[in-house]
Amino acid sequence: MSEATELVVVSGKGGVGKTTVSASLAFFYSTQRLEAVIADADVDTPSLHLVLGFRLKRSEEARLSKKARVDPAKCVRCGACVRTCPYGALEQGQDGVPEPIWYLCEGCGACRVVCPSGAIDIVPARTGKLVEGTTRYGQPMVSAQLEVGEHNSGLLVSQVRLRARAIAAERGAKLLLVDGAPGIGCPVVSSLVGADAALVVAEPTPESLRGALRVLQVARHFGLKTYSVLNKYDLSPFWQEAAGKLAEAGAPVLALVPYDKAVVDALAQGRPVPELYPSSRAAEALEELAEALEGLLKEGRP
Amino acid sequence: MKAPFILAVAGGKGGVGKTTVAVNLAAYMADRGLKLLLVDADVDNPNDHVNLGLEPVKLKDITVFAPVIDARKCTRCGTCARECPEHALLAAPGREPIFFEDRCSGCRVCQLVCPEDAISEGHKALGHIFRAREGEGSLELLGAELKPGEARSPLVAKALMDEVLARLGNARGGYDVVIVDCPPGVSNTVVQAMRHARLALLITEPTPLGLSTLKLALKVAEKLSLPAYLAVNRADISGHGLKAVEELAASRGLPILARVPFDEAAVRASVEGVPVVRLEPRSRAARELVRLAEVVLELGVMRGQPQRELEKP
Repeated sequence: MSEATELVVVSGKGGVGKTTVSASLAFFYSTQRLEAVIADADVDTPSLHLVLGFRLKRSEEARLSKKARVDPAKCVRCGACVRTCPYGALEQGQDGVPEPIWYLCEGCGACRVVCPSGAIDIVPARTGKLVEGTTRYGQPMVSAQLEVGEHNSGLLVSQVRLRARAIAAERGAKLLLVDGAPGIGCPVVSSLVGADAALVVAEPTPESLRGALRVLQVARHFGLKTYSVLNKYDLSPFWQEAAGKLAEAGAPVLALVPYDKAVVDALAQGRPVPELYPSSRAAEALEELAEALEGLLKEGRP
Repeated sequence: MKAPFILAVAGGKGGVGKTTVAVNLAAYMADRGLKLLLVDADVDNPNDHVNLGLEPVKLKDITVFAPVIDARKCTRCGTCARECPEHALLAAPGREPIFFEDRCSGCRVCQLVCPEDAISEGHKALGHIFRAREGEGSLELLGAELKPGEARSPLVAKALMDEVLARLGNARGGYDVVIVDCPPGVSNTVVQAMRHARLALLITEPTPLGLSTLKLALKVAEKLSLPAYLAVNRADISGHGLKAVEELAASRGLPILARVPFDEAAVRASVEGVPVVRLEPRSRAARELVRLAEVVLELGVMRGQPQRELEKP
């Protein structure tokens, strides 16, 4: 049995249309019977479920983080941990017992190493929530929500992908479609490592293009095949130049999606645009994108 | 010394207009003669300079500790590899441990546990801090950029904010207002960017996605005990969506300071790399952004809210 091709939708800059593109692709493949499993790797602000619908099957707490815990009974108030902590996450309280600051502690354990009285433990902490279910269109979907202020978004993304891959293997799915996070940091790196291809969504504005080129650099660094789609392309006279730069950076533009009020209207109703407005210009361009990707998939190229 | 007013422009979702609002408030306030420091803390994807048409200059590298192992002192005991919480060191039989730089978080546990004192201080670059200043104007930009391929955005945001606090602690700064353009999301990077502010201006858009992430952004502000205010961007793209945002705001006691309309002038400004309040000051978006700037100033500087002691970096 061949493994599912894992395609990650990323953008560098946020709000340029990742979720619109991912949701539209998921919708097309559900109607064309291309077996796909959907994963939302934007664990900071997951939103794919708002457009694809989500029927919850399983929910579990992910405790992948670690935090220092000080036992006041054993603490000798020497302050060694406070001086050693590389993140400045320990502060001595009025009673002299150090108190970890929740948003600074990374649970590295340097404090435990230097504590002369064995008063510090490194304990597992809540990273977030992992959920599994199906979309309104019957596709299996895995999503997660990072705990506010947490460090380990990448670990949570890895869990999402592992779970989604297991489901894809079980069902013999052809495609694992991953909606990625904005940026190029921890959750994005974690969604790209080991995946097959990245689809970079960009708008023809200087800031979106910069973000797209940065995330492309990361995707190529990790050996992914790269493609791109230019969203709201007709809002800028600069679009041909943008398309050229994306292609030059190794991400040929598979489709040009025009600015279309239908996208906003569909989003406002929490539905994929091709479902509500199948003959809109945006839906037609998104269908071209879905077909281009499917073609690449059949050739075994992504 | 007068402590400046520190405003965090935040909001969970990417692309809702945090940078647009931050850059326009900064440009307008600076043009009104306030000494302004704009901090671009969206370290994954800093863009404020693009929107202002400025050319940033690298100020310094952001580095963390990385181990340098002295092969002569190392007894191959393997303690460092066993204790490394990130598994960045591999004990190789008969030779000194192999170091995987990509995994290292710079925590120094290896150095602390080495019984032979064989590990000394090395450095690994995570990114850099940059700076730009508008020619004659009173707007200064300080930002940081994560190195592509690196994952540790929170440390880069923290290093940037430490640099900002150092400048504020140093009388030379003399800023009236500091505006921090925060990254999207709810992670630690966002907390690092927001935690020194006195007031959070949350930005959202009137869509189900905007609404859902606004709730998350509110959680961050609450956890940091930051008073929060709201500005709705592209407020007129969905009447239904705006109503939902307004209902949430009312139920949370979150004052809505502005409803910025969708305006092609804002798109043109973004393409030109000039804030819309300067490029097309009479456009609907610019007028609402100016009004927002006035309200924010009233809230912060002019009403002289209780000023928090500056934290030592």
